[in-house]
Amino acid sequence: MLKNISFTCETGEILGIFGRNGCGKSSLLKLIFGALKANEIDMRINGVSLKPNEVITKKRIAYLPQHSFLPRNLRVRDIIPIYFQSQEKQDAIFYDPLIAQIAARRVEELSIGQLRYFQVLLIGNLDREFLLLDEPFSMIDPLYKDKICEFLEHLKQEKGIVITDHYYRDVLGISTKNIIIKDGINQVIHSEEELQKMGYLPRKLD
Amino acid sequence: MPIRAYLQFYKSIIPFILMFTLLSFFIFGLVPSFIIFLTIGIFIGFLTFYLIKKKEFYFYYNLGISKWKLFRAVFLINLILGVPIVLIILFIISFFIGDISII
Repeated sequence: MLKNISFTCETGEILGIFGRNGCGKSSLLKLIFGALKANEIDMRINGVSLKPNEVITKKRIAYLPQHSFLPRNLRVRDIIPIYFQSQEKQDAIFYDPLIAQIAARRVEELSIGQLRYFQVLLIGNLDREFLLLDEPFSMIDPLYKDKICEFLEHLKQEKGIVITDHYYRDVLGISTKNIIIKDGINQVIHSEEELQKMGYLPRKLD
Repeated sequence: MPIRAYLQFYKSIIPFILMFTLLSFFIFGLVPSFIIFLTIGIFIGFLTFYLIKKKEFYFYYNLGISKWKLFRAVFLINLILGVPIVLIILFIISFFIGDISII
């Protein structure tokens, strides 16, 4: 599926990845995170090689999968101390106004927007240099979308962020550079027009 | 070390291990089922967790905990909990019945 993909992401950057369904965007993020095995992959952080099987244990990268990864029976207030030992980090999440109102709820009781926002906050607050986000805006309402964008804008000051989502306007709104994957290779793009030219968007936009 | 995360995983996986161990207890007896509790039982527990809750592995991956680390933690906890429990059962049987060959 993926033949020759190459890109860089630095602290302060948000890299948007676009591509049609099935082109390998999600697989690419899983390959980087080490959750899928690649035939060949060369990954470096600050010039130092990082093997895929070390990504999880070396704690350099956090990953938001497409689907919920939180245990469904746990309450929001019980998950936060599992993820963060420092009181300061715990408070940063507990006292977020949108989290405070759902703290007593179980994961299975959260709406899609609440769940997505909580997950982004969790992994965004982890002490990792890079974040991989797979469809953080999918199916969520404008309020949570704005909050996530605001949070990512804040996070990029200290992290590099790779994001893929079909809500292309939201991605283009926060990304600092973008690529599109087509036929297993990637190409840099700068605008909606280029997404059209690459066949990702239909020719006529409303 | 995120001990709470390991304990959370243990809480998620132990029902599967116990069900299989209980089944093996009725078939093979106490000592073989204890060995199963520490070996095949953990594999069965992992397999069941993988089939039912595969997506939750990312909960642990994001904390730097790989499947192998989870496996070792479950084995260690089973060992710590299992050995005293088996010794207590053996003691109770030998004290009240006097013949542990029945197990």
